[in-house]
Amino acid sequence: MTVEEYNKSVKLYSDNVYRFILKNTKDADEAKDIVQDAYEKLWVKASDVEYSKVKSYLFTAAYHTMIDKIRKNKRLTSIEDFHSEIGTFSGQYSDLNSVLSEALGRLSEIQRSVILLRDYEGYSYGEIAKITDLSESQVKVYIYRGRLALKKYIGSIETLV
Amino acid sequence: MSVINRDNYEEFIVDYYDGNLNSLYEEILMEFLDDNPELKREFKEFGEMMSTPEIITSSPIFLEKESLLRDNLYLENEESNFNELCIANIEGDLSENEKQLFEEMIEDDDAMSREFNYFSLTKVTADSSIIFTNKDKIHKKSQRQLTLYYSSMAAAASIVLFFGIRLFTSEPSITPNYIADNNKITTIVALDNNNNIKPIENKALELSVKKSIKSKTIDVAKETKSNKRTKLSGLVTKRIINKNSSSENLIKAESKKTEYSKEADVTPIKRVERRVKLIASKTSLKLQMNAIPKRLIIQKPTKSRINNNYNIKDEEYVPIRNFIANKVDKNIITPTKKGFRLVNIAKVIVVGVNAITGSEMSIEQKKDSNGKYVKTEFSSGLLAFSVPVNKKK
Repeated sequence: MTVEEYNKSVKLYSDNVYRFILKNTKDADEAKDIVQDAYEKLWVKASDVEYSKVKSYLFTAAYHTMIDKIRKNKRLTSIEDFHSEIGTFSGQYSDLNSVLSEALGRLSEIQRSVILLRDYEGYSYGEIAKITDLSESQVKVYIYRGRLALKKYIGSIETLV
Repeated sequence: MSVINRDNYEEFIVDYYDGNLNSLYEEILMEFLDDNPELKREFKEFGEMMSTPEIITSSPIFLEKESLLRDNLYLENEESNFNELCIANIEGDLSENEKQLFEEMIEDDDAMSREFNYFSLTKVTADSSIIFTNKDKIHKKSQRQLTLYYSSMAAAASIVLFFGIRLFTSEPSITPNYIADNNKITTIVALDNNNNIKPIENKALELSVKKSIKSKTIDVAKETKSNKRTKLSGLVTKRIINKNSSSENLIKAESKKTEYSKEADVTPIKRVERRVKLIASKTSLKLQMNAIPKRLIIQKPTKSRINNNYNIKDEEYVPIRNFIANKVDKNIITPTKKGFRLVNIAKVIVVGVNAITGSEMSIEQKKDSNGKYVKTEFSSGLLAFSVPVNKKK
């Protein structure tokens, strides 16, 4: 991969990676760090990575960095803070997007990640499996279970409203 | 040595009972066992063990096979299956035929339609307004850009070095324009027959004398420059004439601090002598060679500032060229920890410029919190800029 191709990948994919990470972490600064870290890793391996596989490489690197940070933060978080982070419905939702965002936040990291990779980027089960280091069947199960959980949450909100 | 021995007899025994030995090897094995009675007993025990079949009594069986059997995987109206069907439809995992059947199934059932709508809402879409704003931090410069950058830096440093050295090593030359424009000769004087100084009243004569001096001064200056260093060069005098005074010290000469001059006065006399001869040839006035040279000689000659070597002994009279050469040799050319860097050359030049002109230019290298150099800053009274230090790949 040449320098021009690297810079082109910055233009093409940095927004996508950032949105994916931001939706998972909900922390803009941390998301920026993760994206920059992913691109640094890509730059180091620029001679080994083909341009056609840059997007998946970036998502893979960013995903793994994100998971490491989330798990590290969880270890450092106290039990009381963990329970408070679960959250409850405290008010009215302005639109479906906010409901969905809340619902996504309640999923596990892996379920959320695979659903976002599927819906945001349109990756196949096999591609998601490579990115997340899972099998295809595992990816399918996580997506199915994630959608079921989202549907139940949306349904419950509708019922309340 | 026999084919069968105490090291490999067991293999032949196993092959015998498995029926893998031919008649020849069977005969050899029996002969070996006859020669070794204790091994023959072992052979018989092994035979008895091989003849008893293994009875498996604890293999687990799955008793609920029936529950796994299905007549039609997707069209049974069960909640779990229905959820899977809805998700499969959203994910695009259904075939065209299955999709059609599913749509027909939910079309007539309001509850199913509502449930399927909830599943449809679980499809998230990306917010395109969210963008990554730090793209410039992760951009990398191409080799061409890097080459251009280093070339421009090198060119800028070369220009600074060139003009810095040129500015402080150039010799002020006595040209006609220099003399005339700077009013070095305020008034042309001459001596009358009584050796009294009097100004030239005839303006036309004064102008012609001036012109002749101008034209010949060039020759004098050129000749002086081509001479050896011991001869006078770069002599600039400012002659102040007091018209009211009639003393021999009528003409006083002052020399600037930046002038070079030799201690010996021989050359100046020769130089002035040429002028005197010229004036005498052009005018009817007699000019005394002795009187005028004396008056035109610098009243307070400065000490020689031109050394034949670059050793700086007397700092007060060190030429700028020698000063720069000494500094460059000490700080740059002589191996140091810093090495040969353009920024060091620039710093030396800036120091020299500040010393001469009294300006307050500066070149500083800025470090980040980790102590690494991140940029080089230049500032002066009129201009300030900084050049970042790029990280190498």
